[in-house]
Amino acid sequence: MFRTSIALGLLLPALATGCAWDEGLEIRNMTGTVVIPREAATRTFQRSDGTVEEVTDVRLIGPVYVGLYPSVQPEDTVQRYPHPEVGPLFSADLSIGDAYPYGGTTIGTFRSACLKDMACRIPSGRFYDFQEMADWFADTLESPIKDIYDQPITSGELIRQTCFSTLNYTSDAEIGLTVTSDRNEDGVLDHEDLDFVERTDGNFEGEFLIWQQEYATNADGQGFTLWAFMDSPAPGDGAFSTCDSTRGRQVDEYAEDFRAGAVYQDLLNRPSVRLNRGDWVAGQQEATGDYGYIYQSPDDLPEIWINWQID
Amino acid sequence: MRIQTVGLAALAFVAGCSFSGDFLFPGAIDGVPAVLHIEAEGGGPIIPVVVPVDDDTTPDVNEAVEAVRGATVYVELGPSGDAAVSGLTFNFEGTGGSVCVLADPELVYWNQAVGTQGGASTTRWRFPDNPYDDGDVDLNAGLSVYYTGTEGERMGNFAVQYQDSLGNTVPINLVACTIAADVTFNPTAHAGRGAPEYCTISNTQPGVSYTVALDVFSLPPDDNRLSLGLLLADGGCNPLIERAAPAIAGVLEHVNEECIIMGEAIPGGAEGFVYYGYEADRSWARSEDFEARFCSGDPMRAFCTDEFDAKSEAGLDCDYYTPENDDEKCYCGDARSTPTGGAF
Repeated sequence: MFRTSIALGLLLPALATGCAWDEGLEIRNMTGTVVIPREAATRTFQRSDGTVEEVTDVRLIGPVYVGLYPSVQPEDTVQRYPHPEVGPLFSADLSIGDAYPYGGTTIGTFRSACLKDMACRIPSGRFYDFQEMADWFADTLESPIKDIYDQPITSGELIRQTCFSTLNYTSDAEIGLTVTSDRNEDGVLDHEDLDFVERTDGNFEGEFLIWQQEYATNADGQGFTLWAFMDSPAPGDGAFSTCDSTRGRQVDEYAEDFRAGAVYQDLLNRPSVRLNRGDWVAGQQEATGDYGYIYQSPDDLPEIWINWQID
Repeated sequence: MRIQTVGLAALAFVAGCSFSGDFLFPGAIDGVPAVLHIEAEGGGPIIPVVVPVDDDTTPDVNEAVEAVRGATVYVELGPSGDAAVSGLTFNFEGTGGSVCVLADPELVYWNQAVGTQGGASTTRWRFPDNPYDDGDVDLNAGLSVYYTGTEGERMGNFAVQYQDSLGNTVPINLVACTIAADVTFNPTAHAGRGAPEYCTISNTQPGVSYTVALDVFSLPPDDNRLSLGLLLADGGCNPLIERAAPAIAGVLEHVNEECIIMGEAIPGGAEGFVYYGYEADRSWARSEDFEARFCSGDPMRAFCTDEFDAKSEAGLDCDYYTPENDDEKCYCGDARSTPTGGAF
């Protein structure tokens, strides 16, 4: 009996050591800041009455995509603008190789398009409320959102109620297009709770969060490179070229039959396929001189500037 | 004493380390290759056949069908005996244009429709299939330089390891053809049991060697020997199917694919086979009638009830599991085990 106890006593700690096994995986939630220059949030509008108006507004900041890549190459290397390195081009059907991102995320997503005319035009985190949404398209872009009868919508409440009935949602938070949480914890729901807010220097900044990202390094311990780009709203209707109108939620509601739109599945793999003139990408960073932000540690809190406009 | 018992138990666990698991796989069959590499009849790479448009100058002959039949290669594959994948490879040289690869394993398969509702597209599948005579192959093709297998010895793939500048490797699949059909006609997956699988390799590079690799996904359970027909044709697959589907093929276009290659259910002999070109009466008796019925768009019931009645009148029983001759061979399933709608 005594020897049995000794054997079991040795066996149990041996088994327990398995619980302390280190898989060697460095997985973190990675956060940081994206800075949009004021120029990227500014556009000149030629009004129908002939007047010219320059508008600087957070709603001119389209969805921002953040990716982690092996490296970012300078302009006129992979593309005419700074662009992540790409793998081999092995098929005649492809226009560019795969950038093989390690991970990524977006600041602003396409969701809850409850009218066909909203699909691929409205990213989250850009509008304080639905009235502001209706006014932006009707007054600033002069391309109003239209209802199922192809009539322009001027009432934000109509958009809101349509979303409730079409999506079977019961709150603005479920719709997720407007401000519903006190992001800056100042006790007030306002424009300071949007994805991007204006800084004192006149530029705009927003935070990104990449969930459960495995950290990767080279043999010298240098980490992957953060790169980001912004899809600017198209002149005219304000649609976004990074949105695939054949994907997303299928809406079948009376006479409405459409897809709500979703980001192209290979957007981070081949961003240049969807990037157009007028969009902005992260180029050489003034603070470091690097293209993109090169991680030195998974604990880094990078600030990356989307500072290169594609012409 | 107790320690000795624990020690014996530990030794028993250690014995598990020598477990091979080979008994889980059907044994290799002498004379029937598990991995096969074929060449054209006269040697060398297989040349894509140019399938003409039927010009109606000879009403009794469909030139497209005849061209396909003349160019079809029939082969037989057996099990490897272990976990190694069995399959077949062949090479061809790029033409500068599109090339269609089509493989049709024996025989045909359908899911039995047991619901009481539905139109003709449902009711035609009310009779059960015999699933024991159906095999499945997965078709891949790409540039030979990327293929990792060894001709006639070991199946491989077209995956290469790309190393990015950070030093991390990424597997890249360099398969050059997208499978155009599967059991649900989803263009992104391989076809299912007994179903033809095909793909078009677009813009082939002239004179550059391509490899077609057919991995055996499953062997017919009735004999563990898979016979299949292969076709390499110049141009895209869709025009080929429109052009060369026999007149018997019905309106369901995707079913027509099954009748591009006919007579692929060939009885196995002492040795495996490679036959170049179609030959009447080579396959199991009535198997081509069975395929033709499948492609016709008409209910399978007529063929299946005839088969069942004929066997009953002759006092014969179907042997679904190990048929050795035509008398025992049945292509349809056992109607007596057919469930009714809503039941199991």
